[in-house]
Amino acid sequence: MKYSGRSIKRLYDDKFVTGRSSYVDDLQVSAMHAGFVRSPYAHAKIKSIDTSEALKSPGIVAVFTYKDFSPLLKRGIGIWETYEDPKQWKFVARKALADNKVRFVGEPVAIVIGSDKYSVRDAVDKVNVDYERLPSAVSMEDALKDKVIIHEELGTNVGFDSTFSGGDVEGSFKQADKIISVEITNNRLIPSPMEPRGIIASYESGTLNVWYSTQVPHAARSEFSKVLGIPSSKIRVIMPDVGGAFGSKVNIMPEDLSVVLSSIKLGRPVKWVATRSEEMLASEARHNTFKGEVAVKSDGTVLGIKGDLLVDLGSYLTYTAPLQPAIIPLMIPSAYRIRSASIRSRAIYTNTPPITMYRGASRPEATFIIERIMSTVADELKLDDVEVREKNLVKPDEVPYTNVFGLKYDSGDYISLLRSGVNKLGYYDMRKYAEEERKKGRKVGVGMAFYLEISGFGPWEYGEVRVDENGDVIVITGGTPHGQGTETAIAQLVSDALQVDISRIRIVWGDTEIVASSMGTYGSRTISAAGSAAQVAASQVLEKMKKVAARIMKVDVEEVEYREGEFINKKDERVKVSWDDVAKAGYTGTDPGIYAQVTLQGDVTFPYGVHVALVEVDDYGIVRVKEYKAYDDIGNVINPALAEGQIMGGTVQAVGQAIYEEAIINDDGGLAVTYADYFIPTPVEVPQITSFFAEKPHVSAYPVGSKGVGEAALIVGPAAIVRAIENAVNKPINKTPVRPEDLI
Amino acid sequence: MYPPKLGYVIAENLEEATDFLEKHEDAKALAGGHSLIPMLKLRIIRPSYLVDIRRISNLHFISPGSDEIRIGSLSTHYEISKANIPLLSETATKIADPQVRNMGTIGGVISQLDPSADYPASLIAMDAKVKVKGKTERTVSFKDFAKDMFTPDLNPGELVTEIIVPAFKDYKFSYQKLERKAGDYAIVGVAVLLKTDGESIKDVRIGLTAVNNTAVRATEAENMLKDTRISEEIIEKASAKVMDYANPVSDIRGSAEYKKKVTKVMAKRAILEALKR
Amino acid sequence: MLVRPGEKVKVKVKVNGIWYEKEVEPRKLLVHFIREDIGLTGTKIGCDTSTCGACTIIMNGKSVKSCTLFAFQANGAEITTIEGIGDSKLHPIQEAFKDNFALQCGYCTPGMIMQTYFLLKTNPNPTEEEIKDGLHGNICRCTGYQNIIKAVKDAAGRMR
Repeated sequence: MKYSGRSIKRLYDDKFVTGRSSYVDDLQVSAMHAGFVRSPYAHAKIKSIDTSEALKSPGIVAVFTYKDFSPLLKRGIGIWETYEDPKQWKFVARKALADNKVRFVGEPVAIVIGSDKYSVRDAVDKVNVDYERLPSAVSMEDALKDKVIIHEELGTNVGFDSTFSGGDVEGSFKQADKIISVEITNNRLIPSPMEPRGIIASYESGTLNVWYSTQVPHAARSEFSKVLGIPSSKIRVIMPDVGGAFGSKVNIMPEDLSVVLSSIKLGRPVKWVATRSEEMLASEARHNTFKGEVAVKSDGTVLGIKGDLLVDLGSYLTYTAPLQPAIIPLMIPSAYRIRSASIRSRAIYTNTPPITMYRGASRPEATFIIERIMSTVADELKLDDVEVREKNLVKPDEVPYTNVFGLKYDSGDYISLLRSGVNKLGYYDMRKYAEEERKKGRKVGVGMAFYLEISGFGPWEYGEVRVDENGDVIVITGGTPHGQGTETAIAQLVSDALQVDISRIRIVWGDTEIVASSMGTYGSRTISAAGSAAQVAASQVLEKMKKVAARIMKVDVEEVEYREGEFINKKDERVKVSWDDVAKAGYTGTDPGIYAQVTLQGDVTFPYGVHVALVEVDDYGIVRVKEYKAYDDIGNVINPALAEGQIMGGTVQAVGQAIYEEAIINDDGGLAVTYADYFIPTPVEVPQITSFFAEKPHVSAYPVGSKGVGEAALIVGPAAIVRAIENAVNKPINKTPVRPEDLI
Repeated sequence: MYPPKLGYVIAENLEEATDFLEKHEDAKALAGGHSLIPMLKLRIIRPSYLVDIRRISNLHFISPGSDEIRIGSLSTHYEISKANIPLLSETATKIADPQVRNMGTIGGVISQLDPSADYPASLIAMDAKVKVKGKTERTVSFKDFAKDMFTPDLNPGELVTEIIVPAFKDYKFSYQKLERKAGDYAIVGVAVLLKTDGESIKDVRIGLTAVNNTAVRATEAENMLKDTRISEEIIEKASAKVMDYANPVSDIRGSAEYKKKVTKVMAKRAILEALKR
Repeated sequence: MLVRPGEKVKVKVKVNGIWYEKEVEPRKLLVHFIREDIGLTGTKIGCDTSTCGACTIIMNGKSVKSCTLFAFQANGAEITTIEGIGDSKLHPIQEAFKDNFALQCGYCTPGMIMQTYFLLKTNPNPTEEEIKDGLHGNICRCTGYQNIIKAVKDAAGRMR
């Protein structure tokens, strides 16, 4: 193995450091620009829309509303049916523009198309919409009353109501020595990738080409096809460079659809790039509360959990929102042996911007809940955090382990990892240091949290490897990296499989015309699923090369051995043929062509780890996370620097979620923050981050053996940081974000 | 993100600028643009014309003197931060971020008078004077110039030309700014200037910003410290008194109660930091 | 000189060593001018509140947020964008960013590199604190900044 396991430099950084990157706004496509007229009200009837003034505006080509689009729509935007079951949901598919009602402040009501962005913005102000305001339900509590119904045809604001239960909850509560109540909240936040999303749609003679800042070009193609009734063979979706996503760009938005429809109606390319304000409206996440009780024995054993989970949906069910209420309960048991649990999970519509998903998508919520429970149990029973967890962790001989809700954890030794992690990270020394500092009057605290997460989602991923007649290699992957650097890791895998220099390998992705099929990059699955598919395809390609070599050397294929660029006759090692010669020969003679396409099935896997945070709270309640340390078992690590990069990025997002970021909704239902007061951490706010990966990793079933690391730090970080803050100020805290005024 | 239609004028000298501003009441002067342009992008204001005053070279200078320092209104925060002006240079280093400091001007800041701006705490502590020119020239104390939030004492056709501060030789100073995150507006900003003589404080000035409509002097707290021996106790008492001068509003940066609490803590910090010098 | 609302103004700017002359509306932001009229899309737009720094360029020797300037304010100015540092080879800052894994999605990178360029010009040997303070007008959402800080230290060393 020459490359795997090493921190190989990223292959395509030159374009990014020289400004030659091409995000959707950089593409030189001669397109009209689009802008949106948006509702100023949280809930209102649309009485009329007068576009005449706007149409007279210089440079304006069209103004469309729902009535212009509805004849072209077969249905609204659905949900991500690969992972979500529509039968469990009450929802109305999202149309391209508001029809007769608006349901949140900022909802797009009309699209204005013109020759430049400035004139379009001017014309947006000239569209006159006559609204009749309606009472609104902004909070989940209000919406639950079902007095103001947001979607009349549903008759209720409850979009999802499902109880997850297993074991004997009543019995476990009867056996308990103590029942502990908890109320745990995550407040709404915004993924905020640096690149606001955008789309260019070009409809011409029945064919639709779309350049799209997306994570899922094939899913987008499929959805556009269903919504518009255009065969997917006539739709091409191309992913240019994408400036980050964190889950938010799996979502397919009504704005995107409106741009496509505009292009169809006009027969011309139309482009929309969100402003930052629009990007903040486009993707919000994680607004949930858990109220419950935990049955424990005085030695810290958790016997059962019961509770109520409320998840805010915002005003519409988005493509990705259904994941959260369905998966959070499943992951609450984490790696602990909790054999009785009953969790009612409800998702509520409110007159607020719709909720989508954000890095971790349900696992941060679940981990925050269970780790707050474990820490609360520790505090109530006056036990140590590590002790309580170790007491409850599933033992290695119980793994594979099926949790109380039926999820099967594949591989792992949670107790060993907890012990090694706590040791390697110096947790107890850090706790002692914090205690000593507190004696001196400083509010220093250390907290830990453990996580088990679900990643590497299947059901499959695509990998294709081609060797051309010069012996160079193109890998076409179904993964869709957008910053993670996994394309480099995939190249490492293929390089090792083929034993060719990595400089001969090019990785291609993101174009539905070029990539036969794909699921994409999300859920920490790329190196596991896409990497494995590419690796398997590479080994198939190698077999084909061997056959060609056998033909050249006039031996049976079983007698051919491949080593370091040479195909060798096992029976007479002087007889050999080079990689390049075999490649050339592979395109002459009979049976030409050297490539393999693999659609590799796969299923979820469960990485886990322990993270520790050290914080100091100053006299102003301002929290500084000084140190953050991670110890993770993520299976095989293909590129340590890239994996560490994911931990570091996730850590700073965890710092953001724990103490800075809050997407405040005001009483009128509108987003009350701009990017200037939605506090994304700057370099000044970051801790010293140290990341370790388990010395003896437990592999997944994927051929690559990795489990995924993209989301880990944001999954467990908030819990570790909040625990550290509690330690510093000696006050219980069960929400994110923690505000300075909560601490002084 | 997209400013509304506007016209503009490049003023070659001060007279051109003030003439035009007087004739067009909804025109706005453009210096660094870092207060004005963000507002234009959000379409909060819609001036007919912008009057670009950056070419007016006699507004762009810093003249140190033995008694007082004269600062042209076009001086950037970066230039002020490098100019060794007691208290004011330190204040300039804490405004926004480096890129904004390269463009933003002191004239621009005090013409806007955002209640959370940083300079006003220091200017009021320093008894700064502001020179204003329109048809006539006048000099007014910064205290009087800052009438209310976003309300400078500027008539149509008038521009701030100069800010004058005493040289404050032998004074110790500190500007302490509490931010939610680096580069943000102040939750509270406290400017302290003091002169010591051995163990006692001979003169002290304390300016506060972000916790009222305009910057204020905590005069009673100053009086408590004047001609006293430095002690933990008196500093504590004075800081508590400073808190009385804070009347903040609850917003995303904190509740009113929180802001009042931290005013006291910040005042103490500013006094202690100044004494350390 | 007076330009009425709706009229255009001639702007002459030197960008990366080449003079350009274009006619634009007074309200056109400098970042749009650079990206569209000059055609250099390396400078990015990341926000609408002058917060993120993705649009950072060097104008007359100082780093500025080009989204908070009008194109006409750059008339007669000398501008350097990300496309203008380094020539036939990568600039040491660009090399350091690559070598230290200081980028992931790359969107903040041009602005980050330009601000680093300005920082190191004014402070060739910054401490970690000075680097953090010098870059706090540039937001990154992917890397967690640690590798960026390493890259800046590394670049400073290469440039001494």
